[in-house]
Amino acid sequence: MSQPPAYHSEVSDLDLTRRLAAGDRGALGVLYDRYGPACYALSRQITADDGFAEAVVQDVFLTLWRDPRQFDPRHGGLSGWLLSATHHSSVELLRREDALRQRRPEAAGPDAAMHELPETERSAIALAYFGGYTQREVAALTGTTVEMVKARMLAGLRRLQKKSGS
Amino acid sequence: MSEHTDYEELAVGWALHSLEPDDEERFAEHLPGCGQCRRSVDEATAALGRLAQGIVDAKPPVELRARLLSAAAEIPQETEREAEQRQPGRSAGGESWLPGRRWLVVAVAAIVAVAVGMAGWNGVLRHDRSRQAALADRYQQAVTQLTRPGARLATLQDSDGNAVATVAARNGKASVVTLTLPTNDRQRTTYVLWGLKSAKPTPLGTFDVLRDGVDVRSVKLAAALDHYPEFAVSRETGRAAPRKPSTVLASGSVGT
Repeated sequence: MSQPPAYHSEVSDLDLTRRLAAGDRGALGVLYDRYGPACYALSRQITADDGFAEAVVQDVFLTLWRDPRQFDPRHGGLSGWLLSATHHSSVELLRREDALRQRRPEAAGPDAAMHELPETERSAIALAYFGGYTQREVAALTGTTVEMVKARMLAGLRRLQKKSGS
Repeated sequence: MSEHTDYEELAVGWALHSLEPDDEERFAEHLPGCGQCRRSVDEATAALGRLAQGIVDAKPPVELRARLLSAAAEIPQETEREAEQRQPGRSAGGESWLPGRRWLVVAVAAIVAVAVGMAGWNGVLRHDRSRQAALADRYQQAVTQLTRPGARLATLQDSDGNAVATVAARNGKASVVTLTLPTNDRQRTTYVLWGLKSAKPTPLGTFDVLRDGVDVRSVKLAAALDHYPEFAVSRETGRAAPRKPSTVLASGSVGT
């Protein structure tokens, strides 16, 4: 009788996605253990709703399960891919459910690097990333133009990348 | 401002999922052919991922892991050919992310919205584990129907634009994921699924709604449904489908 594969913390994400592609549900469990909590926390932060966050996380990981080839390691790590997918799904839900926005707490980023940004850049990024607002909505909320919002987002992201050394 | 600075801004907005539709369409056309923007998107995605990893004040319920693995056991993986047949679409990490999935998100979102509305994920059912488990099971069955590879989906909306059900057609079979369709009297009435292709609706099959809220119902098909771009439902007196619907309750196109 064959033994299920053993997983260790040193097994790379890439190896796990290869095992996923071979239909190994154990690999899905390991990837969930690694990144599920972060994905849940992000979706919970955006939607402010436990049920929505659970649905989003399940949907994201099942998407990866159905076709692991959707993750392309040439464009970054698996964690970034999963979190980006989580963000996208959460924002899509949020935009359908305006009621969620009404009871959503004030959008704010918990990351220390965010608090070192100029206020205008920080609010533009936080409203979009944690609040799920479009650029036009961010402009209306912050009393400026869409063009200015775009410029602030670009400048803010560049500062964040510089601080993290990427 | 140079044209490429304009695209750099769009790259950041793309990674933030905050572009307006016209900008998103413009950048979606530009991205596949621009290595510089590809790098900008990847770098912005990585930076935003680091922001997300700083959130530590919410933990998923322990049962979510088991639910995920149980759902995965029900969902077959796509073959390479099936994956290639999917339409290319918006990408979170790249242009291949979530191909053609916007409609799926809409369908799942509708289920979640009903589940939240009728059960209150944060409310009463948190303290009623058996009912919560039953609801979660129905919800999971519904999502499983909608995520089967090759399924053609149509979210049906009433005249006010509210999603009331989703039709999932696959391999000559059809299921209806009910959202807000009221229960019907199984002795005296039936729901009818209609195919819309020309001015005259075609009755495809019948089904019953046995409980309020999210549920999965199989349609007893009397006609092939694969070539219909749009579906509708009506509720009829009697147990057989009439030749034309009395009143169409909701309708929707495949893939929307």
